[in-house]
Amino acid sequence: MKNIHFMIALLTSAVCFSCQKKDVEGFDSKNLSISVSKPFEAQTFKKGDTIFIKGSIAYISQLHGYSIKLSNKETNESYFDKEEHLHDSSFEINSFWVDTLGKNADLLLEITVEADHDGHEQTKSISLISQP
Amino acid sequence: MHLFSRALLLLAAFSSAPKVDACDVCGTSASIPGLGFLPQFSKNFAGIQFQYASAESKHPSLFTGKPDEESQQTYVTTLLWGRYHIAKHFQLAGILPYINNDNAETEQTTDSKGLGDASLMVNYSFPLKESIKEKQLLLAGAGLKLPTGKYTGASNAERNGLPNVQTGSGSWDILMNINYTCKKANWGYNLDLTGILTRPNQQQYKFGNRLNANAVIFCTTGSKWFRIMPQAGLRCEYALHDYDNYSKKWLNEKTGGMMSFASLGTQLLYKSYGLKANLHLPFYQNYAAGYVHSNPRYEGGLFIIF
Repeated sequence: MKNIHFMIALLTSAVCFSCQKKDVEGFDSKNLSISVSKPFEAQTFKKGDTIFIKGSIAYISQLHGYSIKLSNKETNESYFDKEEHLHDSSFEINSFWVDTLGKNADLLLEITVEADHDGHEQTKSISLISQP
Repeated sequence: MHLFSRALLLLAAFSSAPKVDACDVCGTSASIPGLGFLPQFSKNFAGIQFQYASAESKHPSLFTGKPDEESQQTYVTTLLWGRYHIAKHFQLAGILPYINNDNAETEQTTDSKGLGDASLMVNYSFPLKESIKEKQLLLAGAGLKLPTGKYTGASNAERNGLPNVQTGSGSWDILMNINYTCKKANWGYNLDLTGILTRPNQQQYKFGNRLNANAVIFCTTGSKWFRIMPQAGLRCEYALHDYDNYSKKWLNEKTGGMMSFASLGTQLLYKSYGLKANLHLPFYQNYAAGYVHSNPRYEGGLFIIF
């Protein structure tokens, strides 16, 4: 019976107590970068113009996704909303929206990166102007 | 009953395992096929088994302000399995599953079917003292789970290949098993401990190590040609976290956990032909911090002893 006790202990230990290492503990916001090449701050668009949204996101560990939201600064009305659930340490952003408003409006472009499923996120905001 | 009490203590220890965090990938992972037990230990057998399991999950969206994400998974497995004595004290055991898994989410349904991961084990039966009143069998073995099932990746853009509903893990994994059966007169018990030490697959996804523990009490009744073997027991499944990328040490803390089931079942044996049916009722589960709930599981099988 000593054999079986030893084997149970060995099997249980091998399976359950294996070292589970994680590259980064917690969320290190200083090492998350959101770089937007297009559009630039306070850029003005007119009806029919295409707003290209390009940039890159990088982190020292795994990211879980990002979202892009373009909305009216005053009314918070959303004009463009895109979500990507991806698992990688860097993402390339390449999207666009055609301005259909035909009115004066202050717009807010928000790119939010989801670092994990615990609510850790970081947002980069860019103000834009739409004209008729 | 000394060993049996030890096994119950082991199960109790699992029941107080630390909590795991919320879930990332919905559903339970494919559990390891334990050998279980069958009558007439010294003979070979071959059989077919059907397994049905389902789970439901509901968890907060990754994106702030979005509604909770819900999904339902069903896991249907048909497996061929058998045991063959290759030498005195040594037996070869194999399992070849056919998988039909389904994952239904709010916006999409993923259906995965095909050959699953085959398992091959070599078991050694320890010579134990026996008497007319008491018969016992101790098997210990090791083997491999082969990547014969299909694995399409854990995080492709369309998310159409959730790792836990795919037919295979894509990895070569090490299996270990200890199986002890003791029978006195018409009563007996079986203890089964199966562990799987997983390895990363080509995409570097690594399923967490897993441990299944079963404790079953049974009795036998009937005639020489026809036997009935009702049984009841406990089953515990424990899984460590998966790695989304093992080489980069991207530990997915939203996976893994523990489930415990109360099991009821019976085996019917007519001459060399057998029929078995089992029901596993979950009574404690802490899989993905309670976001995933496993429903009752059903098993049925036919086998022939030769």
